Amino acid sequence: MDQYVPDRLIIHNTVKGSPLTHNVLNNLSGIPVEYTDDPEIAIDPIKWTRDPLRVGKRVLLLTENRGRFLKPCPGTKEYICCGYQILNFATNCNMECSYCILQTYLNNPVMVVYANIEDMFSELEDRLSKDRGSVWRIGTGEFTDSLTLDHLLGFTDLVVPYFAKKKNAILELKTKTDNISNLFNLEHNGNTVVAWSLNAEEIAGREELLAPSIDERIAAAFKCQEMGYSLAFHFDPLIYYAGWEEGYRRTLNKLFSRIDPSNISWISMGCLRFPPELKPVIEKRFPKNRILYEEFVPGLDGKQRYFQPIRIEMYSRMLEWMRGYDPGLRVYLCMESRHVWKKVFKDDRVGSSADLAARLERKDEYKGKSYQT
Amino acid sequence: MNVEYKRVDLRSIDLTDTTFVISYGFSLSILRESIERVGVLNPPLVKRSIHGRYRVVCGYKRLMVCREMGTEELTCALLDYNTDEREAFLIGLYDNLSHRNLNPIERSIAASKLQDYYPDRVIVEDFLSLLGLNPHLSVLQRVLPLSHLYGEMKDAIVEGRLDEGAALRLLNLSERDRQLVFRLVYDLRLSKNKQIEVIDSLRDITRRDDCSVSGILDSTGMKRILKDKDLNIPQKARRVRRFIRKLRYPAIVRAEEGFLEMTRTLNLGDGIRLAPPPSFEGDRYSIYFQFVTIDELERKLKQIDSIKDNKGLRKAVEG
Ligand code: SF4
Repeated sequence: MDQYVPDRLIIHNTVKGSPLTHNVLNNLSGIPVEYTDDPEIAIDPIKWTRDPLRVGKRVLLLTENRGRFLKPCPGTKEYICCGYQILNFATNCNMECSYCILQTYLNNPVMVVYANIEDMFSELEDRLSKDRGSVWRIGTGEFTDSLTLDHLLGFTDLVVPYFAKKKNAILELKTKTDNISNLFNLEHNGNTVVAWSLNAEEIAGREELLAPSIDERIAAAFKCQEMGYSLAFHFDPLIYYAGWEEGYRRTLNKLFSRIDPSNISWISMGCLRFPPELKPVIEKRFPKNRILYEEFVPGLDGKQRYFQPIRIEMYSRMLEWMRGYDPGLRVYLCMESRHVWKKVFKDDRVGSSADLAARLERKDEYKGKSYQT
Repeated sequence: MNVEYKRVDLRSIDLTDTTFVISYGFSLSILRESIERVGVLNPPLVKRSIHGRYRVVCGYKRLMVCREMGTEELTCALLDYNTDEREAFLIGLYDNLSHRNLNPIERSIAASKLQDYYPDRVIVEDFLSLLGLNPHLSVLQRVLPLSHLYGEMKDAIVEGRLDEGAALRLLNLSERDRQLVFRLVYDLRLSKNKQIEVIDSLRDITRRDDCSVSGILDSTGMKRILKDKDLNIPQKARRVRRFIRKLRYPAIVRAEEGFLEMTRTLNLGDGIRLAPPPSFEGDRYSIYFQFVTIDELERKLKQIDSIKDNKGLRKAVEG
């Protein structure tokens, strides 16, 4: 995969001295660099271009996060949520997946990195030390891809060893990239889970335009497995199309031919869902997409979702196939109703978000132990 | 603004040059009546072009009426030759805005013409509110294409028979499909939301199945509805929407029909209605009924109680 290189770097003067800024300046050469007291003014002209989303992705802004870094995943009460915490160190992504929700979610079109990581670490320290009783599952891949900027930022060099020392926290790095070179030789102590979003190859090729192929993602996962990392996989979004069974089976085959199920901490599944306002954006930016025309209904959270029987069918088949590789795989559904959980898993053990969080927080069972959700 | 008043030969005014004109979708009859009675009260404003003829800045409709009436000469205000085009356009625009609201097509024409003189940011920040629009880039991007529609679609918007949002959606269709769908929603006199529903559904079907709208409209089922002389327009509209919905959402429509079929076996009688969760999402079923007397309440509750062991209902609710 070609690593991301911006056309322009903007540095907010407040983060000039950050180690991340230092890393980016060392790792980028020949790119125009602008220092500013007001990033809003610096990026404002981009908002007035004809395709701000495309233009914005070519600009990397290092700035400070004035709010909190750690926030609960914005789940909705209508569906069961895994109770994940998001470590918001960056927003936006260069991979141009047609379905990407960030296209309407972010109000800033550029690639943003919150470089005041001393503040991030002190917030983490504060929060994790106050609640030692529970296991914090923390991820960085909600508003960005966790690793897509890592060759520039060296973020994992700082964050993986930090979590290695924490007894009550797990860090999940969620990615579609094979940008894993910084992960070699890091002290992770089993506390970092490296996770890949996977899909059917047809979907990856057609809808995840700049992301590495499924083979490349699995090859990267294989290398992380060799480095002793725990792994996770997210079949999210599962996309319904003619031939989906064959497509997803092929990906599962590829996955389990290289990855030992006992190294997998969890696998999640989530069918394609999107806020209604994303549809025109996708149609405009990706006129060749073929993902918007199946049978969608308004979900209880206002997002468009596949008609429920389609979702149940997809999850059930996927679960059956996965369990064919290892019945003990810890599989969960992302943002689904209790009814769907019951139908798919044929039991009612996960009836609420708290149930699911409790099951995923059993840190001792992450590796090498089988657990059936 | 420097002007000079002068009698001008109407033949020397080029009414085909609409550089500064934004008027669209107007009727001249009332204005003609007024001019016939009291004459032209405010002289039109014109500007000499490099070819020596005059271009209209303000008063396009007055000049059209005078031309219709066969007037040969009229007192006009002549704008200084050195006034630049942008200034002239703004004079025309402000003149319009000072005495009337623009219709959607005129707003679109005005916004497009402003693009000749200003960057989008200035149009959004300085002009959209004046045009009666929210000052957002997305709003500008939405109004701009309307002026590129065909005449009869623009007319339908001005008349209020084609919704602006629906018209914008028509622009996503091929030219031929656009015409066909416009005719359909126009002839069926669909309300705004229904226009959008039909256009979106047809467009989604064509993308999903790689087919054309004409293929759908030419299908036997659709032709049968459209040609049925026993149906009035609202009945036709209902059937057409149902037909299209079935094509767009076959599994959902099947589920709805299946549910309806099941409720028939419950013999709930008149006045009790069982409804599935909206779109079959979630797990909340509802029963609606009304009563006037306690007797009636008891009877209906008994009736409702009797359905709980119905196999079809259990299957629907519990799976
Ligand atoms: S990889 Fe994730 S964050 Fe990046 S574009 Fe794709 S969906 Fe969006």
